[in-house]
Amino acid sequence: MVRLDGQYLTLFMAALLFIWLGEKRKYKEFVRFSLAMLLLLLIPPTAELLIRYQTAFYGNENIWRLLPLTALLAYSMVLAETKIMMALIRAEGERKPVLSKKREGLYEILLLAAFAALLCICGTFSLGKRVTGERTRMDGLPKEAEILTFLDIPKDDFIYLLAPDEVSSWARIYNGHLLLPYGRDLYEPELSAYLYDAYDEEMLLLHDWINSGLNLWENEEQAKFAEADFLNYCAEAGYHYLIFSYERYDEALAEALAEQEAYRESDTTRLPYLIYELQ
Amino acid sequence: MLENMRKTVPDKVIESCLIVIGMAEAAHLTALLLKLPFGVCSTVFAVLLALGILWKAGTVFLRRKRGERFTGQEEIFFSKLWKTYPGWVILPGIMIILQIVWYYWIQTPYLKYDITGEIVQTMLASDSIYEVNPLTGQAFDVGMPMRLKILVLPTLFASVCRWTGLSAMTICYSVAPGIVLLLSYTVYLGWAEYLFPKEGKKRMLFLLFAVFIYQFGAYSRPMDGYSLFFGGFQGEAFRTGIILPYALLCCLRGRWKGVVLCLLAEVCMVWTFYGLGYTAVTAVLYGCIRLLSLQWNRREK
Repeated sequence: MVRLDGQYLTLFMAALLFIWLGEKRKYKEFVRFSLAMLLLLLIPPTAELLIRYQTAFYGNENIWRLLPLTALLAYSMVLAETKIMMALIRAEGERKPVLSKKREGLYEILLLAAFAALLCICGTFSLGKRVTGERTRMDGLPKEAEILTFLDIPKDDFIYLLAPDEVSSWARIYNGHLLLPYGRDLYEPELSAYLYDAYDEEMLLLHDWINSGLNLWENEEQAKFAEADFLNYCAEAGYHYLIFSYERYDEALAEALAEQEAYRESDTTRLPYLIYELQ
Repeated sequence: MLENMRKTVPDKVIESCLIVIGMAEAAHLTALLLKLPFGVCSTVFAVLLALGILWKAGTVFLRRKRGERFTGQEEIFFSKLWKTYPGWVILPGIMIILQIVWYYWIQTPYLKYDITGEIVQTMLASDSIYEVNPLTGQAFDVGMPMRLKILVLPTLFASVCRWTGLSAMTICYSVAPGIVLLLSYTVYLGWAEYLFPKEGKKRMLFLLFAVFIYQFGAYSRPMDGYSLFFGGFQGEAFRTGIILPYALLCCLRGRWKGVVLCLLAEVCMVWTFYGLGYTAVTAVLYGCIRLLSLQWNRREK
């Protein structure tokens, strides 16, 4: 999701105006380039041309990366800080003959804090918490995917894993020897841009079955037979590990697992998942 | 103008990195097109890298022998700055270290829209380059677009994993983004040198404001900070944080070799319109502005 609730574009325009009125002769090509790029991005026909030029692989908002925002903003802030310091020194100079280093340092710290506050107000102070979470492990595997560390994965061979999305989305990142019947692109449609492969109805059913169950059956007996069918399918397909979340582990599944012999429950972990290993 | 074209420390660092990207791409394309194992690709890359380092060491040795002074003004500048304004060096330094630790070692990686980790693990596990579907590990039904297969970063990361023994997750989501962030700040040090020549304190102030802008400006995907903090391992982050600002800086300074390196590096790292990306737009727009400025100056005369 793109959040467009910052004001850095407004800051950029203000900075451009500030430099144009004050220092434009000094680095005029830089200033002219910034203005020209801003106009290209704001005027609809040229913006549309740039969007088509970058190809549909990228979102429309990506064209704003062409703007030299960091360079121009930082430049204008240094200029502004210098001017304000000179004005403060001149103002102090009228009262005292020389501004002490301590006072000068204090003014600089206050100015820096003011600029930082301005950037924070126009931007964000979220430290990324709404985008990611805190690691529980050094390698970056999130808590819900830690179950992967309990699997016995061979170094010279490949084994299949079928697991809920929050686990299987990390499986191939954690270890390339884990094969999946379907990839992240099945449930993250944005990733379909990377691959031409598609999935059939069988894979979609399998995905729904391992995640939340199908809940299509009229009675428990039918549900138990359906669960047993899926377990047979997995055994025949050679899926070495099946991982079920506690929410998924309902009565029908528990009975079907108890009555079949292909899979055996692995050592229990303290995580809210059950691992079944092919015998 | 000549002063602007002189190679600075940021130039040397960034251009060296872009050349390393080029070496990795040469090894990657060779292995991809000839369907060689990933192990061979990584060995070829290592050999190219070693040859590059030897060549560089050789040129430095020969220049020393000729008595050429290679200790640049920058080394003297930094030691003077450290003695006069240590606070202005320490403050941005601390903030950068905190950013690296927070975003790349404390926060979980942000995987949306990206499959770099899967591709790297697939290369390491299957010892092949795009022979199997990276998301499943099985053979392709149809395949992947060629414009994605030519991109070099997964091969580069996988090679580093192979040489160092570090896990793919550590390289992709902790080490690589940290290096990209440092390189991005190196580019802005180059900007500071261009905008404030011989003014040490203003240069460090410029860098400090760049750090603030990255930090507080990371609120949406088009923003530089967002791209670097939450996708620093992606080619897009490299383009946003390093290639684009460096390309513009090279245009302003007339360092056209740098612009060409940026154009080529962009093709190697992100999906472009048949080789034309954002760097081309920057270079063309700058070219137009320069031409118009020259015409205007001639008319005024």
